[in-house]
Amino acid sequence: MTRTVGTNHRTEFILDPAEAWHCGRRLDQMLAAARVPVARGVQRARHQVFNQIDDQRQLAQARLVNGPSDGALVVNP
Amino acid sequence: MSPDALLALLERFQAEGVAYVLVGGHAVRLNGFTRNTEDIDILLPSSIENGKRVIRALAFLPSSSELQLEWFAPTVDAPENIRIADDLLIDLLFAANGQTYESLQQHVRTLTVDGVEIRTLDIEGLLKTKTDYRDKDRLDREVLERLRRQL
Repeated sequence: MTRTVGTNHRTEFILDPAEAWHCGRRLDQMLAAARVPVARGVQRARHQVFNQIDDQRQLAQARLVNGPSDGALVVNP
Repeated sequence: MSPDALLALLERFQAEGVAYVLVGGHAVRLNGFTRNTEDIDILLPSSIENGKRVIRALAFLPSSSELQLEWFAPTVDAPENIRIADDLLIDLLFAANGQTYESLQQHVRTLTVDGVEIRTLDIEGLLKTKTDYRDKDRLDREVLERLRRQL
């Protein structure tokens, strides 16, 4: 049984593009401080190469959260 | 200029007359699925003339001074994409999963957010840009197909 309180209507998808845009940009702001920094500059490569770089960054991000820790994670203090 | 850096970028594209389509995570969001994304994927036609416009539009980013106009020229081989890592992380793509600016034209939709026009793809077009072997793409595929069934 699901008990619901409150009136905030939650849906899995946001079908209004403007609302979806703003929601996504709020998400970007929240996650910005937790992201692994990217070296500045211009690179040129095939799509697959960029995908590999992104996958490596994703792994680095996961290690930040899942590495040895005392339980407190401070990102970009 | 919009206070949203990405909308401001798209305003610049519009002002310079850049031919582009917003693809990737931001396009997935516009179609209803809000998920994390780190970069801004912009699909461009291979064209020196359009490249000039892109370089002008990106002039506010210091790293854009490293862009070479010849990188925007049509190529016989598979094209090389361009990543600009600056205040914004922008991927300029000439192909996405084998799809090009030209091949996706029937799927281009223009939306307006906060008065800024955004040229992006419908679900059908986005699905064509997603591989069937990358985890991230497979997740997008699954959700986009579910959304499409509900339309």
